[in-house]
Amino acid sequence: MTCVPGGIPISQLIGERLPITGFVGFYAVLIAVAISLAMGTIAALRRGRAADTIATSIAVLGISMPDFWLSYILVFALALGWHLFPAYGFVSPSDSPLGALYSGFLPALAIAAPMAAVFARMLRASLLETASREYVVVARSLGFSAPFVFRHYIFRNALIPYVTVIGLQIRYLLGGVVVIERIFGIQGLGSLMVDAAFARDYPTVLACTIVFLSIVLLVNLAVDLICVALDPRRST
Amino acid sequence: MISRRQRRSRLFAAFLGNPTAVLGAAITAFVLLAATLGAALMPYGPNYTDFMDLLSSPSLAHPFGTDSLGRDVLTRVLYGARVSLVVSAAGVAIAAVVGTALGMTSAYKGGVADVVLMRLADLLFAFPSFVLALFLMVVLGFGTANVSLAIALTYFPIFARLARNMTLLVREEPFVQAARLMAEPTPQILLREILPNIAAPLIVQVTIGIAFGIVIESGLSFLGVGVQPPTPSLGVIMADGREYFQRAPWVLTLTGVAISCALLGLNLFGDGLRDLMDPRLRQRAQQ
Amino acid sequence: MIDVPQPVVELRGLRTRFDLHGGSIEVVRGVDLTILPGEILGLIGESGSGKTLTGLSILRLLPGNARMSAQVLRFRGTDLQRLDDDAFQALRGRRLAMIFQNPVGAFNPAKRVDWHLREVIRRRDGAATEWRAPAEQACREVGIPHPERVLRLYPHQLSGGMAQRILIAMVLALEPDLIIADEPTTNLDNIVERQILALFRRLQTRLKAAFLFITHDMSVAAALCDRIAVMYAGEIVETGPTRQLFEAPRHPYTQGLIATSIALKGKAERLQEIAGELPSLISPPSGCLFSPRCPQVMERCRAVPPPVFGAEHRTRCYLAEPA
Repeated sequence: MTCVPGGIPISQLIGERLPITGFVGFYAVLIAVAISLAMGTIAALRRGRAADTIATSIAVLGISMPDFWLSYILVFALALGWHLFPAYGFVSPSDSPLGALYSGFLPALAIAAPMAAVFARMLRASLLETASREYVVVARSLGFSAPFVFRHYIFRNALIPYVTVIGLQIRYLLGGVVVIERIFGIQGLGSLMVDAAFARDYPTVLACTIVFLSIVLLVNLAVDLICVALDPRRST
Repeated sequence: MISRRQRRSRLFAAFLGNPTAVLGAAITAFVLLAATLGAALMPYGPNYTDFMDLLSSPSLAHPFGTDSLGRDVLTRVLYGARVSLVVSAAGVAIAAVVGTALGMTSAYKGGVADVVLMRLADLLFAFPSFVLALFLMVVLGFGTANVSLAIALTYFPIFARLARNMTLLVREEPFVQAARLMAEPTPQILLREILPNIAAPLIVQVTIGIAFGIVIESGLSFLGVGVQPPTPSLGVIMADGREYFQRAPWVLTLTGVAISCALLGLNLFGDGLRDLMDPRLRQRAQQ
Repeated sequence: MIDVPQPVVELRGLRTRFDLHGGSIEVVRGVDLTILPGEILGLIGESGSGKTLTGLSILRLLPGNARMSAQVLRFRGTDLQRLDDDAFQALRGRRLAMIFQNPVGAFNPAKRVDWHLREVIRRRDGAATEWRAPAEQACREVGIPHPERVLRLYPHQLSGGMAQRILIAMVLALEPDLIIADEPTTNLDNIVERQILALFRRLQTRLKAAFLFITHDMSVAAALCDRIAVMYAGEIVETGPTRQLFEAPRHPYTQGLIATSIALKGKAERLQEIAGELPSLISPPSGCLFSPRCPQVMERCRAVPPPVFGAEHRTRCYLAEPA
């Protein structure tokens, strides 16, 4: 692709910006997975009790907040209020990995929060469903301890629907990246696309869309591979 | 066999027994009321500017404060909610009608058309939703009506796929076979026999879809490629509030609260509906 | 004075109920069982009579909304109801074990067979022991000729008979004193069933474990069990030595079961000789639970439920009342 807005070839622009978007996106997924593993497990283990209700309510709220709004709340609280994180000025990971982790935390968290909510609900449902399977009763009848049964029988087998949902949610995650990049001034693929949209730069917009599509397809492929690895029934 | 009326009253009773559904319905009803009546009841107009009172913080006269042009923010939010809801609902309605029609027909007729439609839906579905919507706005041009269209196109594959999968399940039921034997015309079979039986998950999807549509619309408008100012929509007001966030954070924050309320209500309502439908329809026809 | 051995299981008045939205249903209504060391006690009944739940109740493996209570529940003299969950969990597998009906579904689908056997052996011997040789030996004992091959398989690759053998091997490796076998051969075809039953017989002599063998198949029970308890609608209606029970059944339900099984060649899934259905447990009939279907019903049966008569051969029926 050699169509040149302002003299720079599109492919070069994309090449520069894609890793940044990739970094932020991946960071967001990591945070979302970490939060949801904790919340989903607690909610399932303490099912019906206070912790479950709290976790589930937080999850429902999390889904209901648009991520670009949440990012402002976070900035308000954690950057302007308590000065814990920077409100602006993303440092590229190639310049400084630690700086990227630090400056990228708020944007990644903003994207991750609604995702974490969806993942947590799925994990909770999956854990509860797996816990009622017959092999869990058999495992307990053999006298395996509750932590052992949870780790090897329940959690391990509940991962499959959980990972599947992560793959399905990538579409929404990438959408969140676009707006968040704008808010935090991150020079990624999303802000490139928005700038190009205002400039009516059709080739760039098209190129960005296709790149995003490719990311989704690649991630889906990766998730499929992980699911096959997790579930022996699929590979044979 | 229980009559339609008995079934409906039983459904209603089950609905009332489900706290999620009731809470969701209550919140959604509140939001709808606020957007329709509340906006009309407000003393100010959405574009009424008062240069004496710029960026004032929330007070009795202005519960949400005023913005940089002296407009009452609460009024703008209520009108904006109306716009956002209408835009989203319109888009989802188009997606639902077209998607369901195509999905049902494709499942019923089968053959090449079915395969083509499913591949098309899969392709559309593979695009990240917001990116696709943004792309469509560039292609179609910015503006309110086009936002609805973009939402419709983004959400259409979900309805098509859902309707298709459910129709495949219902197609083999005896009453459908009977209708076919009686030489009922196909559109009538689809409308009279099949549609009522697959309506439940579709309705749940509509509820979730409207919530999703609001997120898309507000995101697009926030970026400036959706609803264009001065027409208020929740995203436009937030974009406004962004300009002076440090000085007057309440504009953006409270608008976000409004969006969150609407989304919360719709999500809870959809969840509650889904809980009700689940034991009735054991088939998992989605994805 | 004969030295009476201490029973492995002494159960009196077991009641299990399910708590539902509307109220609760009592599905096990006062079951008494005694299992002596080294014997196989058969528990026979139709589907829905509560036999599986009895087994699950003894092992405390009931689902969340079920509650159980018993007047006496002793395992080798120990009061099981006094134990907290941790103490009870230590007993499971090592002292009391269960073999389930659906063999392939009993395994962890994500792990190979060797993992299962390894963890069972580790439970018995501790974490650092050599497990492969004992695992292969256990497989050979249940009639699997080439264990190395089978150990590398995943559960979904096993046939029903193979899976059941491995499950039995796992239970045996733990050397429990009581094995509750819940319809272990129902889902297997006849040839495999006969092999598994022969395996049970062999193992019983070797292990000296006591068995509670739950089944709806009369011919299997007749061939395998030393004593038999017949269960109907959550109650035990007749208990006695196998031979006596089959030659001279006293309770009309037992008589019906035997007649049906002769007609159906062994299986009593549905009681066809006697009309009617299992009573509703939500609103059970007054008097004897079997009275609506009993061909020899008397007036008093409908009024007051009969007590249990007899010593070695016990029957819950007025017909068995000594004159």
